[in-house]
Amino acid sequence: MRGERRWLGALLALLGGPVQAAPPAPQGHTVVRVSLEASGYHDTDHVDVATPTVALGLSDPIAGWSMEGSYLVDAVSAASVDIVSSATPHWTERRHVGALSFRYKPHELGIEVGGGVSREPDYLALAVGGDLVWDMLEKNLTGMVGISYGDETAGRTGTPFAVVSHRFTKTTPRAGFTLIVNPSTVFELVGEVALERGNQAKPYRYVPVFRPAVAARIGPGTSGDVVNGARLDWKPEEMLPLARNRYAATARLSHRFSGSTLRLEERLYSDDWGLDATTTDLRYIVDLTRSLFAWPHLRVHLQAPVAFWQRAYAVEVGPDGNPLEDLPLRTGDRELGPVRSFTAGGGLRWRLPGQASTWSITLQGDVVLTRYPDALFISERMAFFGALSLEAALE
Amino acid sequence: MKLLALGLLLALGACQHVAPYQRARLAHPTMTDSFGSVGAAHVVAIHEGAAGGGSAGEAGCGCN
Repeated sequence: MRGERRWLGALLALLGGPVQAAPPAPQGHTVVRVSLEASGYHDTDHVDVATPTVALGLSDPIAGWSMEGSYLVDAVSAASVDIVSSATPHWTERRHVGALSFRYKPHELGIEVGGGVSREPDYLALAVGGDLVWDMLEKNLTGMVGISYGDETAGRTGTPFAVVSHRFTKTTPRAGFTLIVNPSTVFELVGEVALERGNQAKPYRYVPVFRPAVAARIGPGTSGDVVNGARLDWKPEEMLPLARNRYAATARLSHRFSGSTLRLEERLYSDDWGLDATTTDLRYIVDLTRSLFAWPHLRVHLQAPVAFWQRAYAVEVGPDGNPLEDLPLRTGDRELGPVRSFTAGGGLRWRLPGQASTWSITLQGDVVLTRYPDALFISERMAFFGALSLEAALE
Repeated sequence: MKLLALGLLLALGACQHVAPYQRARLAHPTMTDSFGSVGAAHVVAIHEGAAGGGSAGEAGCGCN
């Protein structure tokens, strides 16, 4: 979405931005943007999330500056199989997320800086970043380079980070461009390298381990009761490599037909843990009227597991039941295993442009089927997502 | 970077120069507005092991 805002900024500049030294100088004016969103999530693994979001933005398209702040809170209620299988009671928690950004692009060259914080009882994430953008070829081409830095700490709920926590940092340089291909088509390509250093293992995540003969009989989707009855008493914490380099290239194509618009996105991803993925996202937006738009939404995500992924980790044990060998790398995080995720949904937007204000109301929903062909506890999850948002731009 | 350079070359080869007065279609709200949602972005983040996609300066969530 940040990329789309860059598009918006670039296109505003293309269409409405002043030509340098073109008299008379246009009068600047401030536009206030307010956005409210309420979304809900439910899945068949007994997780429910309610997320209200508020965002406030100020901008002056003529002067070329804009700033935006947002705040959301996730109220999570979970009794997922991972929680139940570890004999942990149903829990609820809240996650608070705040973000600020500022952009200044008076002419061909612009800068955007931003930062954010995400806080929940057992996790803290901080991030800052900045982008440099510049227009070329009479604003047919806009280049971008940027970098962000994040610092994340994972702990255990109710225990201070000073007692138990894992911390890692994330440095993400990126570069890309947005290109006007023809009067109806815009193309964007962004490449990112995320350099993560530190311990990303969750202190609250334990990995079941089995004798080799038993592990061979533990199939995909084996229930928590069976796993707990078959595993060793030794239940070690998750252990992950202390460095991870992640590479992603994302291409976006937007094409305007006579009464509809295609928005297509493809991301290719690879990292040095061995996880390779492809993600395709498509919206086809149809003009029902001049102010009413509807679209189907499809998304497909396919990924291969990290190199150290095992559905059932196995070790030989001695007569006393203690393991005779170590497992240097182990995880129970299904999102590090093979995943096939299919999303289908749609939305409806009613946009009411006026002389001094533009209002829009958006209703959208998705159904997400995620398959885990080589995981314990569950082999698939169905999730339902819905969001209602109201946006106003006041001049 | 090689991928970016290749994409740039391919894109430049296929494109035409578009003057400001020819950009009415590009300014249509369905071309410029965001059609995602904050909540949907978070759902994607916790369901997929891959990351990236053009974001800048946002916080992580640690939900995985």
